Amino acid sequence: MTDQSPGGAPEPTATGVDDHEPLLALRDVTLRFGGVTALDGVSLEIAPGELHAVIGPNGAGKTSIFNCINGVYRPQVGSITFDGHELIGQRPARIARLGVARTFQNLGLFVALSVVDNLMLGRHHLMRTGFVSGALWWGRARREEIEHREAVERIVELLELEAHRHRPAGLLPYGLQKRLELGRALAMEPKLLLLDEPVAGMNLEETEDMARYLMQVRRELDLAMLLVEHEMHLVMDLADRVTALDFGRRLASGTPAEVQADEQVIQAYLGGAA
Amino acid sequence: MRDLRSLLRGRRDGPAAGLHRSHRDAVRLWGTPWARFGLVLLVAGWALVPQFVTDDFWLSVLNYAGIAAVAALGLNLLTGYTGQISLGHAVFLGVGAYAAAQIGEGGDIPIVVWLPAAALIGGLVGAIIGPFALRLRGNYLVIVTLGLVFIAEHVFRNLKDITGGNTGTPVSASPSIGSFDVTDLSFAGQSYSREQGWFWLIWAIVALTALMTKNIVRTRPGRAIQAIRDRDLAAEVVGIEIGRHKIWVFAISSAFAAAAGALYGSYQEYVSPDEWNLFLSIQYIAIIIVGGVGTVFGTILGALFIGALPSVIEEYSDSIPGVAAKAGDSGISVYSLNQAIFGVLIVAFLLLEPRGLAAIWLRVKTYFRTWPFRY
Amino acid sequence: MSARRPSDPTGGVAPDALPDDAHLEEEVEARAPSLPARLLELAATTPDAVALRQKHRGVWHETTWRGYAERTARIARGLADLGVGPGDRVAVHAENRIEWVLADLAIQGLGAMTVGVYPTCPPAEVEYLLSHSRATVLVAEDEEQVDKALEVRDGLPALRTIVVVDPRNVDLSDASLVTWQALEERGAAGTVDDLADRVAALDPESPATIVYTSGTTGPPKGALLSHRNLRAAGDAFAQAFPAGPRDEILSYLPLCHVAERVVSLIAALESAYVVNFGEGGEAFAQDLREVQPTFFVGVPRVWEKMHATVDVRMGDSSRLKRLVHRRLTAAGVRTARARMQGRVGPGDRVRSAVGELLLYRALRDRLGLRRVRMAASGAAPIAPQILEAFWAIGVPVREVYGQTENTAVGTAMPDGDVRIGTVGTSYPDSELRIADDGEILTRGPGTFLGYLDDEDATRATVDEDGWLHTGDVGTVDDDGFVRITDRKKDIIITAGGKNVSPSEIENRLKVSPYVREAIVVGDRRKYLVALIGIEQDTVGDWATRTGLAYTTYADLSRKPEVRELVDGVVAAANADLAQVETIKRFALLEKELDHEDGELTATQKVRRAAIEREFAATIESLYAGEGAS
Repeated sequence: MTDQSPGGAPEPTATGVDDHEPLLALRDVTLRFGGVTALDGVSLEIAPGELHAVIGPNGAGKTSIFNCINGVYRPQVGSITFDGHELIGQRPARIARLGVARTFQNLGLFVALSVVDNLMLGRHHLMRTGFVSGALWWGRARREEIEHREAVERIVELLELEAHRHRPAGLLPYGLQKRLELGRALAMEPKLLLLDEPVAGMNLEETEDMARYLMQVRRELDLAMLLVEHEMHLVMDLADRVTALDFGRRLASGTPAEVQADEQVIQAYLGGAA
Repeated sequence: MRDLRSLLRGRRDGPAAGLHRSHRDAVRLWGTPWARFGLVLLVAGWALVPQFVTDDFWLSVLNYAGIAAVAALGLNLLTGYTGQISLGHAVFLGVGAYAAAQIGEGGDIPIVVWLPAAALIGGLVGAIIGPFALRLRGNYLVIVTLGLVFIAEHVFRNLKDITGGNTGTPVSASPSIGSFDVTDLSFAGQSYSREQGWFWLIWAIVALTALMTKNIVRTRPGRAIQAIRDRDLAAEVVGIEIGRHKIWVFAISSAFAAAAGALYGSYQEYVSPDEWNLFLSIQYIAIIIVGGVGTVFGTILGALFIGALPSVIEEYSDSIPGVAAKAGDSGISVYSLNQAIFGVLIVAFLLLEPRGLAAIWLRVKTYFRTWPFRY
Repeated sequence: MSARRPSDPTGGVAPDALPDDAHLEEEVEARAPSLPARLLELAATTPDAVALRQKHRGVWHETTWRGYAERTARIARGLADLGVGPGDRVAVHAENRIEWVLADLAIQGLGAMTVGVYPTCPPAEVEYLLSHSRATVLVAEDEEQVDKALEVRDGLPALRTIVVVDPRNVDLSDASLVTWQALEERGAAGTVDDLADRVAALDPESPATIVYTSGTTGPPKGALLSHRNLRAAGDAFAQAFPAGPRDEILSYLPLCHVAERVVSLIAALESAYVVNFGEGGEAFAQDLREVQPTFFVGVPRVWEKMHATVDVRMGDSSRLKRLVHRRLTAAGVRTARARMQGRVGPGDRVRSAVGELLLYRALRDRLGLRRVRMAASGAAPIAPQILEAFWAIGVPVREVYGQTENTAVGTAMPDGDVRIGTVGTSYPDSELRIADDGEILTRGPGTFLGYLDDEDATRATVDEDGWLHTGDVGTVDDDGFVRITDRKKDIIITAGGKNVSPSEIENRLKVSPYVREAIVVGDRRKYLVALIGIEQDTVGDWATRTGLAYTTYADLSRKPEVRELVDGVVAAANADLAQVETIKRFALLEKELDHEDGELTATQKVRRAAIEREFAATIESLYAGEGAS
């Protein structure tokens, strides 16, 4: 991201991240399922290194945004550009290789595989071993296994998974599964990390742990994050900017304080609760 | 060797065996001296079987089981590790057998040429068919592969130049390299029978394919196919190209089947289209279900069990009441009995022990590994 | 262990003369006079043998004796560059890791003193230790420890530099911060010869380290230990536990405590065995299973916890396994008693062999003690039942007794003559006697130099004749075996005038896997009561199995069913105790005791006074309406 965009300079972000070209830009994205409009002309920008949160009541279209970004859904209108590439119409695997990682709200772990294998799968697109070289083992496969095991160990250290390396992912307690999924996404060495409710269903202690890990990740790794979360404290503590959605429309966008003070947002939340 | 010695000497000091001092230690397949010791014992013990079992009938039973194991390892990659159920496995055994018949005709071509070539042809056929079959999931895939069996049977019966049509074709591909022929071994003044020679050849190939399967499973492609099996959407999101991997597995699975078919043809010296039918495919499904879906060791156990069963039934059909030993006798035929038994076995294992013999073995192993605790 | 005679069979009178000083001097001269000197000796004699192993990112990295010495030399030079010289104090605030021992030896090699700070210390305690010791350099492990120091830096005018071992997330723009790596690079010119020159200049009688005793009352006191003290401790320990270069240990207890210092550094240098640093924390059990040490030292808490683990997991096992376990441990206890006496008959051998095959080896393997051939328990009294349970499965745990002030050189249980209930006999070069008031006194090369800046306390501890007053009350039998009654100040005198040792009763209670802490109260009272803290893991497991739902520790403690469970434990303990020692009433603590809340010392010992203060109301309620049965 060295070249400055000449016209229409993006607004400066709250973190003071240089106003380079955004890493990810959604413009007027509209997604419909039959007669239902899940996203209605949503626009969103994320600068490199920014942590951007998307909030909104249930069914506001938060998860739909993720599914559009990483190619699971295909929006009918609009554009999604990431790091100079148009994402709409690309396969999820290709988008992953471009540098977009994601965690799932309801966990997307490979439950029969061990913690280390799950993390190694995060590195799949960084490895080259195929069926033939894998079957032969000696040479590339072995070298690559060792090399990437080392990389995976950094994640193990970062997220303090040392005591669990060889346990099947499905047998871990819930909080650890969420942490492992974050680890798998980080193992992909992404430029953008999509976090779908990373603390949903967690108790207070697990939530605090996750917040600590997220902050640590931000400090140690150079990546942008898009966070969908219900837990407002977490959003307000971590996010540089917040976008509020309701019924697939963008209500407000700005710093956490601005969004929190926004009349429409308050309305949507109170109205949604009533 | 070094750890074997220290193992036998029972050293109780120095660095512990499970201590990984590099990632190279960590990625070893048999990580502890005990595991390596057990492997050596198992391989050596199995290699000695023909020394004690010299009866041709029983050796042939083990040989057929070994051939079945090679093909079943392929099917387990596809079904056990990738989660794709195929009823078309028999077709690729046929492809391999005919390929061997063609390439190895005359018996002068060494096995190191015709066997890999047959596997390669099987793999290519698989790679061509794969993209059609694998667009579908679950039951649809089962039905499409079922169709494949019938189409292939039609082709095998009519492509007379290659397959000899309904009457079949002799297979003269011989298990030899130059003057070295496994069917005519002599060593240290002792000569060995054809069946003994085939035993060592077949089971060496079983060991090789098992090792290759194990290697695939523990490296990048193997993890990817298991990820596809467990959660395909998440697999795609971490950057795994599902289609490509499925096609590859289908091709590898077909190649293993073709290699088995080639061995089968060469071992029997004759094959006919009647052999590559739906029942053979079901037999392979039975092997991996009884043996254990998604395990290498289980596949071999399953092949020994299921692969040996028809021969054993045939051998003892006289003494089983209600079975027709010869054509014209009253009672059900051996063939029908086999079918019935496989059916019962598949249902019984799916209901009672869905993870097969391997799960039983694993439970025994876990029982001792965690003794005296439960977990 | 060859025959070692008890030092003072009469148990009362001191030998007429002090040991021949000249002779002693000579003997010390022949040995390396300091730990760094011993390191250099080993680096010269067995340069390529493995000395240390550190698990980092899943792999155990080895360091040879040569590498150990070379890195120490570089760190020493780096520290010298930072202005550290003879007499200075350098604090180390880290979990057990290779950098801890490297720093320690480098600091000692420079003639400076190492001050260990417990990783769990809250900022206020860090401030106290650093300001009291006037440390000029702090080696801090990571962000967490650096933050603690920075928080209290205003109160630490002497502190010039903080060396950060793991600089992740640490803002290094602060000029007083330097990374460990930079320090080692800075000292790259420091060769082993360079270090040898400095080490040769050390005065063996000068202080090498300040060990703060986390007293159960009052602020910590800094005990000054000389190079000679440390070497003497190594000598004594190696006599009681003769280990060699093929032995392996896991370093896991806090290194600031004298016990782990002895095991991981002092005796390790003496016997040249391999010290392993694992990943620690949650991964401790796994570290232990991977290393499978041949020599293992634990505090009672560790042994109790392992014992409880076996108990709980056996509870989950099948009937058959439970039966085998019950039968074979019972048999094991019988054989153990013979083995403790060094009298193993053929019947014992058969029993052991069967037990080994069917149970003991497997059980040890699960715990990570499969290869343990020597084991020790120290730092606090342990219940005999726990000791027997480990002997029964082939872990020969011998008690050792000592304290910071005598560099842990007090007594050790002799090999082959283990008498449970005693802490063994004194060491050959040391003396031990009982004062008129029953207090245990020791004297020998381990006796410390005194407390830092506290003459009064020093005088109160070491008398003119050089006897160290341990503060423990006990007896010595005719064979020289020492039996500890209790801490002098903890002895309870009931309203009826009977002397009762609370720790004995507490340990009896802690034999139960369900009891984590027990504090017996009753000084000048009509009867004894107890505050009991349950073990969350085991009681939680029990609750789960009996279908009892609970949320938190406090909630679990409040359950009547749990109370009933503990009631059974208390009743069982009472059955073994004399009438005056029985617990009449008890209360369950609704919070887990904690170092940070001041209830436990950094070594997890109960701070009795603090607890009696904090739970005064609870205690009073236990005496309300006296005369209850």
